[in-house]
Amino acid sequence: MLSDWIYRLRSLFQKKSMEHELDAELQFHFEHQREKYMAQGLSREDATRKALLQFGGVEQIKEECRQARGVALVESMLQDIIYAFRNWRRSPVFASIAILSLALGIGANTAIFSIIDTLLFKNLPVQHPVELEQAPDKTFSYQMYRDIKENNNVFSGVLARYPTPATITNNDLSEREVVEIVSGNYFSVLGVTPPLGRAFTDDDDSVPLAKAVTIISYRYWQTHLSAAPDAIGKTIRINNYPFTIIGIAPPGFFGVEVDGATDAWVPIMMEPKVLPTSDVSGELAINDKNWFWLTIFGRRAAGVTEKQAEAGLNVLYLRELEDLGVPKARLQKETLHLEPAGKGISRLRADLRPSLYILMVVVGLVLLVACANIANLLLARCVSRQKEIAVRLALGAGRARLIRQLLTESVLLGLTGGLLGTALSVWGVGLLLRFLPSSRRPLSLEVGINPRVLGFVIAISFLTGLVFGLVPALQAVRLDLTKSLKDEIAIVIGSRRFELRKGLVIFQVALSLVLLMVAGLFIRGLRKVSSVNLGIDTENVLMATLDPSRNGYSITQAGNFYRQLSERLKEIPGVKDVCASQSALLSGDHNFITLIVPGRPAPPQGRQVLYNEVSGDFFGVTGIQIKSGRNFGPQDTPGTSRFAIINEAAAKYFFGEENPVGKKARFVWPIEIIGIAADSKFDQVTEEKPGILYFSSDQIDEPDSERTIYLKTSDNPTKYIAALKDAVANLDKNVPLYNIKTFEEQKAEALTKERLTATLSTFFGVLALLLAAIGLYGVIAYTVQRRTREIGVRMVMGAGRGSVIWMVMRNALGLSIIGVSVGILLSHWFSGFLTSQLPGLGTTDSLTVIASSIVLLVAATVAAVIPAWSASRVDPMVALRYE
Amino acid sequence: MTEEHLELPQGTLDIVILKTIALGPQHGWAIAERIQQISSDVLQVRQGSLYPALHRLQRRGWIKAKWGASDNNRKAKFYELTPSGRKQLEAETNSWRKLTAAVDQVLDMT
Repeated sequence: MLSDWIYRLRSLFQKKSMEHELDAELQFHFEHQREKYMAQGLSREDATRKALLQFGGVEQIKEECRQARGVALVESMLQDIIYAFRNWRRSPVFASIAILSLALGIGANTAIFSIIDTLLFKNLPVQHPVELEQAPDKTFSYQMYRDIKENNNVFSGVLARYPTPATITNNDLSEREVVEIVSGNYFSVLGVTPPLGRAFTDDDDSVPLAKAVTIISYRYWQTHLSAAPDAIGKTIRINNYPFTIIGIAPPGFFGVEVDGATDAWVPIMMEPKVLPTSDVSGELAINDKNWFWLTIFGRRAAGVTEKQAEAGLNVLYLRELEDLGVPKARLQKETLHLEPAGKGISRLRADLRPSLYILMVVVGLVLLVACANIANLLLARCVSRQKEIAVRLALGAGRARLIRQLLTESVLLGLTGGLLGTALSVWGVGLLLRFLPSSRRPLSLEVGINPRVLGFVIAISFLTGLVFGLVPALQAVRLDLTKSLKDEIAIVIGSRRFELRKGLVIFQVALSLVLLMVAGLFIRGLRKVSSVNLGIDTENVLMATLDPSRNGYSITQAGNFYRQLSERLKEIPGVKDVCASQSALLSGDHNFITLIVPGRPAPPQGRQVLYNEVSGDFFGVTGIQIKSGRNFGPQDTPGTSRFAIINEAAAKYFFGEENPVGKKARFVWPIEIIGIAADSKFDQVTEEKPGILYFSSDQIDEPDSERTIYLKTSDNPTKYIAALKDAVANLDKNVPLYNIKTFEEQKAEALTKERLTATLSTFFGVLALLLAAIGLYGVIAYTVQRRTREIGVRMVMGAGRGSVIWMVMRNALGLSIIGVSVGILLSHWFSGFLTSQLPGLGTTDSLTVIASSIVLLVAATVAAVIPAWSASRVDPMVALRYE
Repeated sequence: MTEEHLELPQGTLDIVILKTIALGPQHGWAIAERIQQISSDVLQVRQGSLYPALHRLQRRGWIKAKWGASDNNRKAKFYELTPSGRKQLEAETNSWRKLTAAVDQVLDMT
């Protein structure tokens, strides 16, 4: 096979010498033959004649030899490509419109595909990712992990991990980063080798607090340690405790979580220095049998299936649970399930999947519109190339050969468009990622061109070229030779081909309408969630988060820190009030507790309720009204009984029609409800009325030390950022302040996904509209050109300019209205698909339909105006002499 | 005269050529002559089939060509069998024998 192609290529590139050899060989043969005849007694002339006669057509033999050498296929392909390029140069407008619309169509597809690829298909940069397994939503105590690690016979290695936010300090710069607390075999099980320094070993992770070592991410090394090779051996502080850097993780490796990028890894044995809470309980997390905190990843041993691994793991897991006293009856429910973990864990994945799939379909449709556009242009070009094709057919070119040549041209268009589109998509994705607010941007989401994306681009470009090229090519070679050669273009064009072009325009208009309606749906959805009543006053509020416990503060110290900070902030001129909450509002963070109300049956959907620890006048600053009862006050101290404020939704859920104020309830400890707050949104904008319970941080034994503080200001809150930073730095310059933004920004960020989907679908809708308008323009302009004579006659007969314009416009609007009607039918079917993916989106309403249709008809009118106007400028005398 | 000559189908022509040069390198004209002689003038190979066949066989790697001097000392292109060509000849000879034997049996049926 290979030698076959080498021979073909040699024949191609050494064409001259091979032709020469063939000539010599044939000449030799001829002379030998002549000599033979002369030897038989013929005269020289007779022998020559007889030999020539017998030889037949020399050129034909040569051509057959060339065919046999296999050079023809390669050679003609090259010819076709050169011919195609020459053609583009002759009609640059056509070529640029075609390549540009293809680049936009293919670029959009590549961009969305590369995001899908990164988020849904890409494997972690580890060895043999397919062997990795995880038990989703299951956590393990350290004892359980050790038991599983040492006694299982289904994994070649099991690692444990616990990600946590932490303060990393390097050269007096303190920042909030993600640290992964990991077992000593973490890197060896994953098969990740540090390019600099070394990985952890079991030895690093065997004695509590013995080895304060860390491996830092490539990114952190580059941005904070100026990529210096002598970073190994240096010390950085994690939560104000010194750790020695022993290795740098490879670039592109950010841990097993795709969304949150880990910047440092530390051994489990160092946990007390990285997690603040265990200080209080007084016991090391590794000795706490009841704290299920670790998630584990296993690498399947050779020949072990997922099912076998699951069974093997369950034996150990259920035995551990039984030892902890879980009743036998409940054990059955605790069985864990394994899932492939080669792609890592991602919260974004599930969240974005439906939107991404919808966008993929949307860009697919845009590409179809682009294809229709180019098919349309090609059909138009067929008319101008008719003569050329007729001449070639007449000269004996095979129809199949001509089709191949036309297809080569269109596939080449597709590939060129694909090349340009890839460049566009790289740029577009970069732009898109910049739109994502940093708090919602997965750092490890480094979208790039990998072999899978490249394969996608090539396949889609090739396919595109075939799709839009096939019909025009088949049409082009189907023509009547005699008529074509006699220049009777008007007759030859054939109404069939023109019907086809009209059909393509209708198809384009219909698809554009579908896309506009999809955009309309997303815009409507965005407007609905944007205008939703949050129940929160977001005006003139600055918010920022901090966590002194990640700098080694005890809970009491952190409490003092917050008190001092609050006093200093209140002294800033222009700051009206200051408060704090455990979970930042609208941040996506939330906590649940179980609430038991004595004397009332458990509510139907369980006893779970959201809760938030607040301090200062939280309700005053956020504008959440106290409907009845009272607010927290300075009198609520640790000494008094514990009070809670419940919001209306939770009050109704837990107490029905009863007034909860003054009632007692219980979760970990008994509480008394002192007030009812108005309903408000909690962690996101899109949720329904959430039930919330509020506690005062001052009354809780172990209040969360990560708090978001809110500054109510008298004017533009961004003016106070510097003062806020100063106030924190004056207390402790190593306590990082993060997520600093106004409440309005927070609200906008909470709708990032909705806004991006709406923006993108609008962009694609407009793109499709533009392509359809170009298509329509092409067809109408062509009609006008074809009817020039008729228009001339009409004008001679007394038709005014107005009526000529109307005649053309009627034609264009007629096509558009058919397209719109088809589009309405299509979108009805399409909205079914949309709601199956995004149930909250809603279906097409008449307003969206009418609005999209109007937009389309306006675009159609604009597209038709130019040809209509030029029709009205036709000079009858010239028109009648036309052709 | 021509009525008695048979044109060989492509596949058959290929083994006949391979067999002819199996005995030693030959140039194109000699191959045609040899086939005609040995088949007692029944098989005639036209240039129009011979040369394309030779190029085809080269492409497949069964034969290779070399320039050399002919009997009357003129430059000519000589074709010879490659090892894979020799194998191909054996295989094709076997299957040809089987085929003809089988066809004979059927035709001899009484």
